[in-house]
Amino acid sequence: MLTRIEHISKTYTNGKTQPLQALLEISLEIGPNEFVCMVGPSGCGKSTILSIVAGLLEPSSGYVTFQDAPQGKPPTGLVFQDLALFPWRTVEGNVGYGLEELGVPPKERKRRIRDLVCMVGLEGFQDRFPHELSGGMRQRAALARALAPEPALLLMDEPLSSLDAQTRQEMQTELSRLFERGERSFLYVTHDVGEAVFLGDRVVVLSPRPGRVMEVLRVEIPRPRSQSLRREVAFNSLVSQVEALLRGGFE
Amino acid sequence: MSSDQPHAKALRARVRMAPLAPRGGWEGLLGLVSVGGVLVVWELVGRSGLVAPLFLPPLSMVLKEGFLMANSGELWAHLGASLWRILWGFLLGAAVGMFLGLAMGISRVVDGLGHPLVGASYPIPKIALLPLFILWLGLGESSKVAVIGLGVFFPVLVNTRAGVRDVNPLLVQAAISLGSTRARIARKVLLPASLPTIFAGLKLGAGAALLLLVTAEMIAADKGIGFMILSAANLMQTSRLLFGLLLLAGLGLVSNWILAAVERRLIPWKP
Repeated sequence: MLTRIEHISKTYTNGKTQPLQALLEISLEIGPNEFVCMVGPSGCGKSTILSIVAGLLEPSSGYVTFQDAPQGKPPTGLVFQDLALFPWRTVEGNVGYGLEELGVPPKERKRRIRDLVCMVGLEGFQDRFPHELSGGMRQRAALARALAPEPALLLMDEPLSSLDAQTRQEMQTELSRLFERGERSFLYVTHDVGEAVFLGDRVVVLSPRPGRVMEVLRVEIPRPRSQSLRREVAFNSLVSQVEALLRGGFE
Repeated sequence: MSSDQPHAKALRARVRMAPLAPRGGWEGLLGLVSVGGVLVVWELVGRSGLVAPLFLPPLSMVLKEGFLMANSGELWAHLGASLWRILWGFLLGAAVGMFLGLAMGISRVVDGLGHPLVGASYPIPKIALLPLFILWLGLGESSKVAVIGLGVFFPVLVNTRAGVRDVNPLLVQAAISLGSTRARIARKVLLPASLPTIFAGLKLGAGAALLLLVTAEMIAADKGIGFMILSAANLMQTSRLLFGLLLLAGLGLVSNWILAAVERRLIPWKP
């Protein structure tokens, strides 16, 4: 599936305060099986872009199209920064939610839930409620829930920001493995420049509000990637390059 | 050792004051001691002759009265009538309150229409409506059920509405992103997410139901626990009056237990 974001602008108005221009003329393509990361200063509208692509928010102008979208399932899946797991559902219930909404029969649903739970490494925890899980496990559950309806584009909004450094690197490696299966594209928002370079095929640098695409950098590092990458010159020079762009954007 | 220092000791005492500290088994025993103590003192005072049995018959006499009433079948007639009224009143009030509360929590139009009405009618003491209901529905059961139902309806409605409005909007967005339609969001997200608040309303409603039951039965009934208490007082049958109060205490306790058990079953995820 090819996702086209065409000239999207978003202005928030509530009638009381000054209208707030969050996004200005964002255009971006996410190819089939491509991993695109977005970095930018706080408040530059990164999350707004994801909400618009997910169809949760109407842009003020511009549009999003999905070319060759698979039939009978939602084109996008979304992993929220706050995860937004349903606290009254177990891991199994959360993962199965999207399948219920798609009308997948119970037997097949059970099988697919089991596969997903295994894939994200939550075997043995499928009957736990979210509040009984650690931060990393909740993260895995949220990922499995978003993957369940098999979206062709997975949108992720700073999903690892609440994890400790070690768990975060583990999850980055696992996300990388997940991507390398070649089953879906990613549009991934993060604060962490190293994370963006580690995961992405391209890194989109956004300007401070109103968010515009300042620069798009291609990450020419072969896959599969591992965390030892972080010691390599190519990796670090890209990171410095993005950081310089971000600093420039502030000034 | 630091544990012997008065400072550390004082700190630990304060930690124990924390409201979330788990209750040990021995604290449950304290409850038995206090309730049992009051009952024993009651019995002793009643027997000592310090107070005339007309004013405070000993517990044993009260229980004997209850036993006699159970044997004659009188007790079951009163208890049955009261249970029937409170059950129907509670179920009707809770069902309608939850339904309208959900509707008001979800729809701005329904809320705009309904909220001022609720605001204006909630403050009326429900028992004041009994004469009107008797006029409309007659002296039979339905007027009493209606008053009890109304007493349950309002707290359940207000709590359900508040619960729905408080649902984390992210959960709704998550459901939308997973393909839910509006009707399914109401059933699969808003309802379960607001269950804890709804239960707070149901508990308030249960208290109101008991109050209204007894009052209504004292005003207009020929059986029921409220009627039994009032007629016993008129005839100076203090044992019978006190037995009625014990029954009410039991009824309140049992209804709390039932609600708590249902709550644990429906909301196992509440940490």
